[in-house]
Amino acid sequence: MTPFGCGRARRAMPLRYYAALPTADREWLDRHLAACPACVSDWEALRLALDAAIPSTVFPMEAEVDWDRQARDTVARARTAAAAAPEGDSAVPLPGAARRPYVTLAPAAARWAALAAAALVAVLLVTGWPGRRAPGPGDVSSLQGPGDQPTAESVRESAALIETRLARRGATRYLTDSRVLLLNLVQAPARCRKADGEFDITFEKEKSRELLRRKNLHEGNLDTLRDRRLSDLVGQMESLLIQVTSLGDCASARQLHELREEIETRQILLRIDLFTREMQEKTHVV
Amino acid sequence: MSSDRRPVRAAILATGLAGVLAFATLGGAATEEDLFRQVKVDVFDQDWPAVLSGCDEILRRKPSGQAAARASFYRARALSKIPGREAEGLDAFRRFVAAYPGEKVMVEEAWGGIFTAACHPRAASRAACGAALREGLADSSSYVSTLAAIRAADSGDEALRPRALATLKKAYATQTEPEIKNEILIAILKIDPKQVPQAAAAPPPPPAAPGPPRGKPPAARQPTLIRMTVYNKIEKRYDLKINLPVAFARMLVDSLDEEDLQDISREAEKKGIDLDDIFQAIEKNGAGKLLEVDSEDSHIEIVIE
Repeated sequence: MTPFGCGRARRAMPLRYYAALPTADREWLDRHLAACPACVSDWEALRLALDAAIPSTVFPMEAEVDWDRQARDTVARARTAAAAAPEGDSAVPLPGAARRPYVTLAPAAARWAALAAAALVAVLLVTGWPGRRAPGPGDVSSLQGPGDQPTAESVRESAALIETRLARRGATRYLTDSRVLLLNLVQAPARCRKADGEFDITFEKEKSRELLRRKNLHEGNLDTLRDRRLSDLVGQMESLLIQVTSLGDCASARQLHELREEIETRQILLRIDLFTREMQEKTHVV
Repeated sequence: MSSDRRPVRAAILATGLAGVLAFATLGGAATEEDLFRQVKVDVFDQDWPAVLSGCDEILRRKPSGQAAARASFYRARALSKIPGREAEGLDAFRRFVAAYPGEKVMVEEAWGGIFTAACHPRAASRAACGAALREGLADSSSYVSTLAAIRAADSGDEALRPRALATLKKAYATQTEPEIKNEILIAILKIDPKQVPQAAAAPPPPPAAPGPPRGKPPAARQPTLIRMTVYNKIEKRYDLKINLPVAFARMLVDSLDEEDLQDISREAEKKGIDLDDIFQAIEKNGAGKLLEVDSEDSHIEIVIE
């Protein structure tokens, strides 16, 4: 084995793991592994590492965050701050403001009374009005009385809620479909009828366009901290998909090779895998 | 003699050196392709200032080169992502749409960028959002007009809503992609719940069985509303509390977390309810509690009215 052979083998391993190597390269790698104990050891180590690479091991802190609670706490803090601040008072003082703020004009006792009232309002806003029992499980009637039609406002709130949930699922599906598309493209695309030595990627181009259209639907629905990593990856996929759509219908081997290198360098398959691993069986992994 | 030749030698040497330097400079300069490759890396890294300077360099060197369209697009994207320069991003996207109408895919992406930049909560003016959406609604591409209509459902511009609604209804009738169809339905719901196409709610009633007429059946009220709650027993709060027209039944099920979905599927199976055909289940069961699941962690209820 020449060092060049081992180097090439190591570079090909991540793609082999994600079944993204063209058949000829995969066969070459398998032959190499059959004769090179050092590379077999590297391959096993890589497989173990990638098998273990789930979101909770790669981003351990993220799993500890209760995003719903964090969102609620933030809203509660903002409400408390808003309720405690006198009307028209801004957190950032206006430059050159000549008037003294109202609070400094009020006597101390009145200020304390106002603060206490504000705190009470904040508590009521967060916990609900006294006498209104916090609804328990199964209390669907608390949404609306039977036969009542929901208000337009409650319907809009429900629509926004369901939209965010669907956006998360839609974005994950978009990543999964993008992954399949990229694998198709770098593995074994069909030969182009028009020109020898080139590959017909008409289908992949059309599919990329469709995926980009789907991605645009979720724009703005993945803005929370919880979805940051997902949103970043969705954005990163955009440039790869645009690259695919900008190729000619018959792509050259060099263009596909470049695409494969980008996918490998940017660890696209690993990143997508982290998101989708929990969602589906690992049927695609060797 | 040798002293006479010295200036000539020096001149030859100087010329040769200049030639070598010039060659080295030309050969060492990054090509358009190299520059664009770096831009792609910077886009991946979301290093938007670097993307901007890379694209500017490409456009300065070859304003109508092979990479010009993509450089213009990513320049706009970079500007729209750099805090404080969003308005420039909006202008750059607009210029891109005008300059490269043939780049269909990137033009669609650019429209998405225009709507996002113009209607972002931190955008400078609301008027820009309305103007961008109006322009989008009038676009000849049905995808762009549908996207504008979907975004219009979230804008506070009441004047835009009737026009957006008409576009959405037309798009709903022709769209085949389920995900886009769902978004259209949600947008219609946000604009006016009464306009949600009822055809989406349930299949038409089965044809009457052949035989002698049995008289007029009692007028049964069609289910119109689906209410779903997911109560988190551990935290003693609702994870989900939804109240929607029955047309959204499928979407509600799709929006459940994997764990809740498994629980509810198990319960549905026990009761002989086919969640894959939830509309038929609703039709069959009529109004009332469709499903109730009580686990250690949560309590889920689906009620049809």
